[in-house]
Amino acid sequence: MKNKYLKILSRTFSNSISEFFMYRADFFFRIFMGLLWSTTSLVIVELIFYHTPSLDGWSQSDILLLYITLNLAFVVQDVLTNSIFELSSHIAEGRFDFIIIKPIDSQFFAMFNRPDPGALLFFFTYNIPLIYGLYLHSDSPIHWLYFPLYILLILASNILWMLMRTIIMTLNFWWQRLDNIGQILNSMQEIGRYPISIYPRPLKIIFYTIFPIAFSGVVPAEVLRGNISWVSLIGMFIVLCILSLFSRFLWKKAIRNYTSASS
Amino acid sequence: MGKYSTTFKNSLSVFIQYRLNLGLILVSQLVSLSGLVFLWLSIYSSGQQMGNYGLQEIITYYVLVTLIATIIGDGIGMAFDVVEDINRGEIIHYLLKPFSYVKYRFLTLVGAITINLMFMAPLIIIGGYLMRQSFSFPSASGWVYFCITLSFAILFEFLIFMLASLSSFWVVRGSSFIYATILITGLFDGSLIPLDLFPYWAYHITSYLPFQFIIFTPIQAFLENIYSPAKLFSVAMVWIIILLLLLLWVWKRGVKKLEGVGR
Repeated sequence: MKNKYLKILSRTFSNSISEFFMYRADFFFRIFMGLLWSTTSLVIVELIFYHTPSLDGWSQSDILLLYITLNLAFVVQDVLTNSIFELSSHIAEGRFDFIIIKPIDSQFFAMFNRPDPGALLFFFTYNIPLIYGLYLHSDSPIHWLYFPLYILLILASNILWMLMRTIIMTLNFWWQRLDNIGQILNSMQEIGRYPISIYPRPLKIIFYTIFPIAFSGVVPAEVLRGNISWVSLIGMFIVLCILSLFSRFLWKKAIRNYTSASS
Repeated sequence: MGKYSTTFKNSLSVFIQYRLNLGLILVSQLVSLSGLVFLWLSIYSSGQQMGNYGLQEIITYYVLVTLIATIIGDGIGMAFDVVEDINRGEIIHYLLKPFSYVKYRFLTLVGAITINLMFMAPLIIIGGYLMRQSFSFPSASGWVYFCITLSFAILFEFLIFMLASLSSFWVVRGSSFIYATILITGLFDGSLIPLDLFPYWAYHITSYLPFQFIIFTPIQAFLENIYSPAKLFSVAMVWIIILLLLLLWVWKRGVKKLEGVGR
């Protein structure tokens, strides 16, 4: 059974790579977009620190580390589960029927049927200039001893946001054409680019629970800064378990209530 | 003209169905811009000052960014719809009719903005009344300037994103051009950071670009910070003519290149 899912994942990924290399313009455009994003990010950080020496105790290199950490926290899910954003139009236009009739878990297929290998190319071209910027502004030490824990937290963040995306997009089963619901997730990513300490307490609680963006940026970045909070790590594990169960529960409930639009 | 007024009325009917989407846009705008508001609050609380903006002015600035971006933000959705029309070949249905597709898209956008204004108006009135002590409202001439610059904002939003979407005549992933346009306009329209907080040389360059008219210029009109209206309107008119001519030229070239197989 597990082999079937791994085989399908590997086949969809290789199909996506073939499709990606068919369009050479797309290849170069992803590189251009990555460089454009990194330029924009570097300009914004420079502008902020043009007017202030630190941001609630975070230096310019700390903020760049936060940016890179947040990008790492989303890369795996950007590559593997980008197709979940098509769920809205699949449901509204009746194409979801072709997913549900397949002899495979529908949630798995909706999430993983169209990986986006170009996102990996974008990721590298976006982050290499940021890493170089971090190297140039290296005024805070990085505790490399905690790097394995950092990587573990990054992987956990990717799973966490894969589940968040799925939960948010599942709402389309009840309210059709929520075309802009994905924008809320993108907005949360913007929130995560700043230290959570700048927000008031009620918002901090939200960013550690309902929209756990803190676990994707600040918590792993703090580990590399040498500030390990075991409360945060345990909290992250608890949130991950809750989201896993809730995502599955919500999807099954959605499928039971699903009515085909037309096909 | 009757066919275009019908287009406008139809778009009002369509967009009133998707008022939840407007709520989602508003929520995502509030989420991402709240990050910036707390960022500036954190900087001001540490005793720093951002250019000539006091704390009240910078909060007013970002409230206006949220309002304007929510009201006119459907330009991005319109651009993605155009990309889909071209990629699926559905644009051919419009080409066969005695009907201008570009005018149709403009009137549909105006319809969406009208609906957004209708739903936002009570919130704006209530919010303005509650915040009347901490909000500086313009004089009568300020309101006139604000309305004129807001009309320019709608026009520039349409022209810039329509041009980006017409890239789909030549590339498979026209949406990539739209994402690049979102990034560039986001940096240069003043929605992330007020343009007059850029270093002087950068601000001077942006004052001759068309992106400022989408967000920054209407806000400066509201704050009554426009000191050379003649120069501003001259730049606006020059860019409107350039973008209109470019749009017509790209459209003609695109339609010539179009192949509608099986339609």
